[in-house]
Amino acid sequence: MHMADALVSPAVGGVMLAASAGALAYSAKQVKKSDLSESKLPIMGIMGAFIFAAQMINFTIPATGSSGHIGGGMLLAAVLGPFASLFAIAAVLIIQCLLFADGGLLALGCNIFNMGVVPCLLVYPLVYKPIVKAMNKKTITIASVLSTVVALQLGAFLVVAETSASKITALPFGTFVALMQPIHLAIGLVEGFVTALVLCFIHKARPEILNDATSPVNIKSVRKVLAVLAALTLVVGGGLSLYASEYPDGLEWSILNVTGSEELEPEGKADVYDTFSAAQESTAFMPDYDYKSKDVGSPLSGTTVAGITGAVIVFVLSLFTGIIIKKCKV
Amino acid sequence: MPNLSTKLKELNTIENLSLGNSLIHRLHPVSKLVVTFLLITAVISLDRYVFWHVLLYFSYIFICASVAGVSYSFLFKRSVLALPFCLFAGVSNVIFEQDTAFFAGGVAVSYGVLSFVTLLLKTLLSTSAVILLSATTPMPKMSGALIRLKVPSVLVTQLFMTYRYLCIIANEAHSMYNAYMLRSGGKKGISILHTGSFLGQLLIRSFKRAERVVLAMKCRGYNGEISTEHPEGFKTSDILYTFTFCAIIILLRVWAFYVKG
Repeated sequence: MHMADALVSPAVGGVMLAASAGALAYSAKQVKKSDLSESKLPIMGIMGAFIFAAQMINFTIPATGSSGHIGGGMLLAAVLGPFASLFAIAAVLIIQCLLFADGGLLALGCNIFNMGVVPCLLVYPLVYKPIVKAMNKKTITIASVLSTVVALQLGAFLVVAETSASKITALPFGTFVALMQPIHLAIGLVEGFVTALVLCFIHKARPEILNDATSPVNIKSVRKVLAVLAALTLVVGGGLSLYASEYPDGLEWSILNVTGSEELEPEGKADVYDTFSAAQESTAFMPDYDYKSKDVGSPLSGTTVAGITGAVIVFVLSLFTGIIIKKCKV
Repeated sequence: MPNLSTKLKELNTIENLSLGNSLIHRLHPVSKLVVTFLLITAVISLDRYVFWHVLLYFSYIFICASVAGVSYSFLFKRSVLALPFCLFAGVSNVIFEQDTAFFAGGVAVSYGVLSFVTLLLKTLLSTSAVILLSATTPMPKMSGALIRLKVPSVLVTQLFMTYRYLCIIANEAHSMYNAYMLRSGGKKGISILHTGSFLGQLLIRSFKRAERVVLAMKCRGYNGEISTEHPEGFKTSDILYTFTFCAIIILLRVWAFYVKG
């Protein structure tokens, strides 16, 4: 599944490089935060070397007469945890690219994303970790097979998407997907089975290796911070908003000086503009931070109510997002 | 085991080549990385049918490979690894794009064939450029260049350790494989049911080795930072090389853009 440079355009390659770099930067922070970061770095390096060696070991697949090897993303994530394993996989992919020409230099971002970020940061916390809450042979097997299949399916789909977005091949998107997904389903099932065998062996022989995979983030201090932020938001949104300046902001001031009015009107055909502004008018329940109808007999000004309502909506939405993240968290 | 010993041989060859002392070897790794990156970007940004423009860029590969003492056959044999998936994508172009582009001596050449040839050449060129880079830059120098480019030290440490222990773990796997095959009674490979314990043993051995290595490093003053080889400053030859080749690549690309337009 290593993509060559010729399969991506500079735009797609650049975007995926940025995405992978962002994921690596975030993982670097998480690895440094954990107490064992000093000991973990060399272990990550040597496990990267292990994965490299493991990828070169072919096993025979019965009834097909062919042989295969594992990719190792999910195996590494189960042993090292999500962030450390991403680094190990990224290092292996960079070395494969530079020393063995397996995967392109510009396509490194795509490869790290497809084979590193997807299994380690996406599939491991969302599929593998919830299933192995109670660690035994059965849960390990189910989790390994399911997560490997999902990771490979997603990875293969991303390869198709990146190649199609780069406009390299004339193959229709649907046909491309229909060709890639079933092959990778078969590969995923075999690799998932082998990963399950390896993890069950380790669980029997050295269970402490699998149990130390992750460390939780301390959230007690986060609650205090949230309470202070909530109080501040109400004060600023409800009270200080009454003293908000009515003068035009920087952009409106510039437009006023150039065109004579604070907002720009579209010239010529404005169908798209009209559609979107109609949509905005129907959904805005407090346009311009004031009451929609001027007959509302409320002692509180429209701006204060808009400020408090906006803050409450943002609070509720972010709380739900946080709960979802926590549920999916490692 | 063919795969493992082949890979170890390839690694050995590249390592030996990278220890050479030609003009290209003495260039700053950052210069070579920048030129390689620009070359690959320029080539893959070319249109789908302009294989003759791709051929022009091969001159960089031929010149630098000759100066560095890297044989063309070595470069292209290694590039063949990247071909299978590109061939698959290219062959579909031949099937789906059947409009005739031009006639060559009475034979109709379709757009599909043009895009197939262009894709093939782009793959060969980009792969050769990367192999040339690693055949003229030892990995420790490359790590130093990455630090200079402000790549996080966590990743550079990771690269360094993986590269250092690659051969050790691979040789251990090779010994385990030989021991298995000698006891397997004439089997052709590792049975899938035995892969779990085989890879599991290798993983546990690697993990335990890693723990011993960490203790040994801490005893020798390891504090979380690994010192890699820091490259010297830029010389006149580095600046000349970078500017000359970047200018040629950009000019060729701009010319290709205007010719198409």
